[in-house]
Amino acid sequence: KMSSQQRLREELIDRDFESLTEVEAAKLVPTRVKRLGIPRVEEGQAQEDGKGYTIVSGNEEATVDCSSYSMKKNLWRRNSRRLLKFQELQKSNSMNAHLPDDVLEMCLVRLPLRSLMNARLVCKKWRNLMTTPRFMQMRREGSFRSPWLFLFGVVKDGYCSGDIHALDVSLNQWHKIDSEALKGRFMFSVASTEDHVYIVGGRSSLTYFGRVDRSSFKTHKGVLVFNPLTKSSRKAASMNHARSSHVLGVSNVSPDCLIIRNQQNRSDRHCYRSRVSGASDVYEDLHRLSVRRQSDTKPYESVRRKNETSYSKDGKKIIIIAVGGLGSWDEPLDSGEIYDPVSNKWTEIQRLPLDFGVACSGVVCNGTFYVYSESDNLLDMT
Amino acid sequence: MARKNRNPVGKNVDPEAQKKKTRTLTLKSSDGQEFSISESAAVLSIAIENMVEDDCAGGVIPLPLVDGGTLARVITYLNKHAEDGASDEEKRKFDEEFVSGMEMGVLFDVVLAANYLDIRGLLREVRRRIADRMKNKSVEWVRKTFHIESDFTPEEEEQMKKEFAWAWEGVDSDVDD
Repeated sequence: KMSSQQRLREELIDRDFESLTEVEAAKLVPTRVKRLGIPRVEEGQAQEDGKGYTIVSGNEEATVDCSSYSMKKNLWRRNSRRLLKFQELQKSNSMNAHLPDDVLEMCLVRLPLRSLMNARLVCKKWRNLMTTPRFMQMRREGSFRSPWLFLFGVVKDGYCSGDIHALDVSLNQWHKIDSEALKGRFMFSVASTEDHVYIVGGRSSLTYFGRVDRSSFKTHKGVLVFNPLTKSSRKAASMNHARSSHVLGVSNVSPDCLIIRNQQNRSDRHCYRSRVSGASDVYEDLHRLSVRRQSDTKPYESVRRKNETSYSKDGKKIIIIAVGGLGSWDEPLDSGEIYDPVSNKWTEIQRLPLDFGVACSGVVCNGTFYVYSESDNLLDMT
Repeated sequence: MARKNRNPVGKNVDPEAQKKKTRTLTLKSSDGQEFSISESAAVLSIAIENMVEDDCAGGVIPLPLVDGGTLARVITYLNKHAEDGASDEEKRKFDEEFVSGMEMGVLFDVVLAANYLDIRGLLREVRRRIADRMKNKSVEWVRKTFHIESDFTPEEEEQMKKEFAWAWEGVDSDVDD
């Protein structure tokens, strides 16, 4: 029972993760889940029909279907009503100010998120002080925010609870965030950007609400943007194709990072994958270094062109790449698309090479998006 | 070095710096205590530097918002940072030790003095220390420490606690300094 993690997909570790290396961060997920007694992430039916899961070894009962993400949390959205209140209060409520507001502000801006939320409860003045756009700006710019790790898509007893588990890395504490928006969705992919988590595509069951049912389901095109702190989510533009279990990558685009990585990174990637997939037989021949190859330059060119047209003023912005996955009829997809949050548009990119196989994992490393397929191919996209 | 950065206009920084080292200023606290300090240490405070530059110092500089105990601490800090041989690493270590023993009340006094005298490095150090102390503390602890009374109604407070329930799980007990 303990070795049931044969598939831990989508470990795209955010490049901005501050204090942990990629490898450490990846380690964190499975061990913490075990030790802290977070509900085991299980998907009981995966093995029975085997559909959509080509990496299924013969003797395991359950698979892990979760995504973990680090992100820097921050920010409530500006609330104009609060702002007005704040201005009123500033006039009337200065009697209990021991420290001048600017000094107080500079102390509070350094607090880890949890203590910040706590401090908001102290009094109205503090709360107002900490919800101004100026405060948010200071927090963002001063890099006082500490990383959090998120665990999405926990399936327990065959039902998708929609709960999100979050690890506050600075305090080493787990929190559970209920989210109605995710209830009943499974096989979605998750990508995190600076402030938000994008929940892309996935499926939901048509028969029993919340149940992972592979016989009758709907595949989504839709994209939800989740803000963990406010627990709110909004819809972003839908993808061109409905996808589930696809590979996502988040890239911070700047003119300097358009470099194709090669050999040594591949072997890194290789070890990484083999360690995470644990008991799986499929990866036993890892050291053979079989068919890995680089794609021809065409996908690279097309992606690059896209990137360059979408630069923002500061020359850096975030894009999300979605590749492969399963379509509405469970058919493997070889298409890919790129999302630009500024224009809120998905744009198709060149399809995966014909003999590439089913994309099963991807990671962005030094500005290169690596896609790994179940037939042991590695594709670099810069 | 620090002074050079702050004073980019000064072309003859070096002879000027030498003069500053030998000249002393007298700082007078709110409770009438007087402290001697070399000018080179004193001008790490931008406020004092401005006073010296405007030549309104006239021997004794009164600091009516800083009490003697706090001023003594601030001067210890300034002297260390003006010390010639002190490496950055030494200063960093000093800063850490300097603030680590202080109680919250003292930290508040020092942060106010640093703010008033405009000593950037000290301000940064103390702010960080205050924030460190507040980590993982209950709302009640923060209120007590900062002498603040809640102006939320119990209902409002309940509502906010519910909204971010995770923020109040397992805070430290309030028994601390």
